[in-house]
Amino acid sequence: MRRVAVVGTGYPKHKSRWEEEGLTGLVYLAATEALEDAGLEPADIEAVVYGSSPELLTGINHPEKWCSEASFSVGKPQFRIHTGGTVGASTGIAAFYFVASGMFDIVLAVTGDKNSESPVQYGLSTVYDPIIGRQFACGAPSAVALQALEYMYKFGATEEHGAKIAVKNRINALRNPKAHLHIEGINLEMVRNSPMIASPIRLLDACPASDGAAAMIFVSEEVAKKLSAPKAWVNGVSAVTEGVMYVDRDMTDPIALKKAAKTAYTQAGVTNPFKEIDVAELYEAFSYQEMIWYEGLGFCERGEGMKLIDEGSTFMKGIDYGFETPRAGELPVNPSGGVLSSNNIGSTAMIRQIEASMQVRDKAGEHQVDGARVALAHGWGGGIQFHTVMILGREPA
Amino acid sequence: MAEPVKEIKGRLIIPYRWSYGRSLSLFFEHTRVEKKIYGARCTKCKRVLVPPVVVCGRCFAPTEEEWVEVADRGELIAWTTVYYPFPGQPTQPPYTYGYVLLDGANTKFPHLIMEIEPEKLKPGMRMEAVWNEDRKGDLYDIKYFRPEQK
Amino acid sequence: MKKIAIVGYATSPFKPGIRDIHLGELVFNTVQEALKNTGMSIEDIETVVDASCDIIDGRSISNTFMIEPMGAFLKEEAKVEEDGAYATIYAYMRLLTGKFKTAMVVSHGKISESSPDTYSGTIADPFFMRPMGITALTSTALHVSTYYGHYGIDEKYAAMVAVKNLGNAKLNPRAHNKGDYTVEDVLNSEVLATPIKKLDSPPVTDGAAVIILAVEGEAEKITDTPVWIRGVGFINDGFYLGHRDLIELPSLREAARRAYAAAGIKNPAEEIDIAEVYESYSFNELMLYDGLGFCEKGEGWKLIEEGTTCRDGKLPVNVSGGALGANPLMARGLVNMIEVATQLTGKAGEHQVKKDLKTGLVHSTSGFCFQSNVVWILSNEKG
Repeated sequence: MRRVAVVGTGYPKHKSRWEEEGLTGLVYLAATEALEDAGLEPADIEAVVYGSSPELLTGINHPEKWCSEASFSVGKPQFRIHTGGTVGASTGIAAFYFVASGMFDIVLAVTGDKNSESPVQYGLSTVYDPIIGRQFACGAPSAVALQALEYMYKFGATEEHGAKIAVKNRINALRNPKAHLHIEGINLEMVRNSPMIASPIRLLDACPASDGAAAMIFVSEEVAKKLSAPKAWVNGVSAVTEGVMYVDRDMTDPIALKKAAKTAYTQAGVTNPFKEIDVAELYEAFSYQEMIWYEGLGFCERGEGMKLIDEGSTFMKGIDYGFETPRAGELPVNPSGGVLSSNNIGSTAMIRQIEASMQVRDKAGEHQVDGARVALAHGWGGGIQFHTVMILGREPA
Repeated sequence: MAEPVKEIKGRLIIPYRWSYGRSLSLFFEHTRVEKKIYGARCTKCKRVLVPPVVVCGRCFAPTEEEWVEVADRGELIAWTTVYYPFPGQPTQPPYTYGYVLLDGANTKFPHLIMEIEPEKLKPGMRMEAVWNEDRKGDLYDIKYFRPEQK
Repeated sequence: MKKIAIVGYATSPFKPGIRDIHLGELVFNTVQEALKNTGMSIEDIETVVDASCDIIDGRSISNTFMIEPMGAFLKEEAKVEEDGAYATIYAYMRLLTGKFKTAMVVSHGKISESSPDTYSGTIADPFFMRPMGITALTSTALHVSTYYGHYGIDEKYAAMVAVKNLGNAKLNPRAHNKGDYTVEDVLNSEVLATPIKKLDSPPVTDGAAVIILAVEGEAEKITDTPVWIRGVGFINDGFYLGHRDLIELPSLREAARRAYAAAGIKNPAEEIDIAEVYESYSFNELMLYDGLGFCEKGEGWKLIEEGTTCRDGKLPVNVSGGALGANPLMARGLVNMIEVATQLTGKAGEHQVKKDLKTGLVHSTSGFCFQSNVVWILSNEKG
């Protein structure tokens, strides 16, 4: 298979309300930034993959059509991917396949959404089955609340673990100028005292609703060699799904994630993920999920996700989080601030891939993990069932 | 100069009519007329799916034509109390809902949980359905679940 | 590049409203049928790409509850939120990488649960098009007035397309909108948006369609009659109708050019034996003849007048009855592929074209006035 590299990425700062730009404007900002980063011109783009969140969120069907000009896809091959929360990652993965197939050499993947333009949880409640379940849906929080509660009871995780993750990612976000939430002085007390939105999830255990966009440029090895921009090699890619209401489903055992991780690790030659991965960007829309994903990704054994929090292994080195993190820096997770600090849904899983590639391209600035060579990006979507894993490397596998 | 206009307001109203299909029609006929809950057994793994959908996802095998009755009671698996309000919300918060694993079923059934303080809920707690007097052939044929009465 | 073939397919029944079958059951039945037709089991399918639409289904993230019915449980899966002929591009690319040997494309839409006007009306942007009430129908009416006005084409030629497609549909069990009509019947039918009349317009159709693709080496093991993909082109155009060249149709022309180049086709009118195009409205078919290079610019009317695109003509187009015969949104592109594959392998039964067929063209489109187009070239020869 052809080798594929990420040579440019971009995303405008996320915020509650982008008043000065509409959806097309945000998409344009992201695409332009990614092109500049890659040292390419719009005319160099051979094909475009567009991704966005459910239409019932934005009220716009086929937003890729409206954003044709803004995404530089007039006169070019283009189509839209939509896999819910996963979509940003699914879009990056589709762009990878565009190049790996040999059909194209330079492909733009672009996503965007303005969550300020509608009541997001109303839109997300329409993901629930209309016949059995939608009656008491409260968007994403209520679905994940059930998962979090099951995890707490099964393995003894506490509100403290959730709060530590919420604090970790918010403090990390202070070093990422593009993150939506910059909560100065965030601490465990603030999380504990924030209002309950769907028990056991409190407001500060939850992601914000953001306006934003994101773009990435994927190129073939041949093109990559000609560009001076640093590269992030796509060494492993997988997108696996499970069902929703299937028999013996255990929400604390993400079987699709396990399979996706295994596939991506095999491709990238990763045998001990905790040791070999230098930094990871996970899709923790709600704090508790981060521990469940650690386990699904094989960073630790099942039921031991909270140990990584207790010991501080997934915290950044040299940052004071207000509590002990003796093993900080072993495998930093979400140095960007994660989904808890920015979430426009359409771009969110792509930003995991962008941040992971920025780390191996040495471009993460203040939140750079020194010497990161192997980075992992994860996404989830649908009824907590679609999982994507991408392994990015400083060198090709 | 006056402040430029920055947005317009709009609304999307889309009426839908979602088909039950034969399976769910019959399922809700049983709840409406008999106050009984039925499931369908997978032809391969023999586990019971409620509601009786036509395919077992794990096995990609059809479910058996002959359904099995499951209990209107079972174990509480997980729950949440929702406080967050938003426009168009189908149930007004605060309210509690969760998954009940009905006796005889292998899939979890979502419904409202009432007649108990949420703080007193425990996983594995026995729950029972409270049937609606006025049943229309939809999910609210069961009003909610509550702790099993001895 | 690897050679890829269509090795299996199935469609659900197509009806104006499939009210007695749940969406999941419709999808499950169709996938099962496709597997049965090829003698494959679900374990033989390595990746699944689906094509469906949240707004049509009224179920956001429309693949959420379709994973189990599609048989995508614990498989590599993705959804292309476009017509199935686009989702097939993704499946094709996945196979080209060599990572997978087989792929299944599943498309579904039960538009009777919402409405076609909601589907197309929400594509309109909220600032300029929505206040104007732009939908598939009204945008097509504007397009027709532009294109037909420019070339001075009489609307009777569009009526002849309607007569042809509705007549072709009579022989096709996959079509439900059919009948013997005259040009006068069409011209005298109820006006929906000038110059488009009822009999120029597609029906409301529910349905699902599935195809299975496999790489060379596997394909021959699965079936004795693989249908080979010889080329594909897909191109997008700009959004606002007023910014676009609605006469030249550059995205259609370029998509076709790329598909022809890949397949080594120099003269489409001579080399293509059969075509299924997504006409939606009768008027559009003549524009498609033009954009696909079946005729000189603006001369599509000649092909229908001379009978070239009729069932027994030199280049039959929409022998299935086209979208006028059945218009399952999101699935129509796959239905076009399935029709051409069926014809190329001589399996079309009563509506089999009575001539030697080697090369077929499949077209589908997305957005207003052919904003985006995809063109596939299929053949019963590997090449």
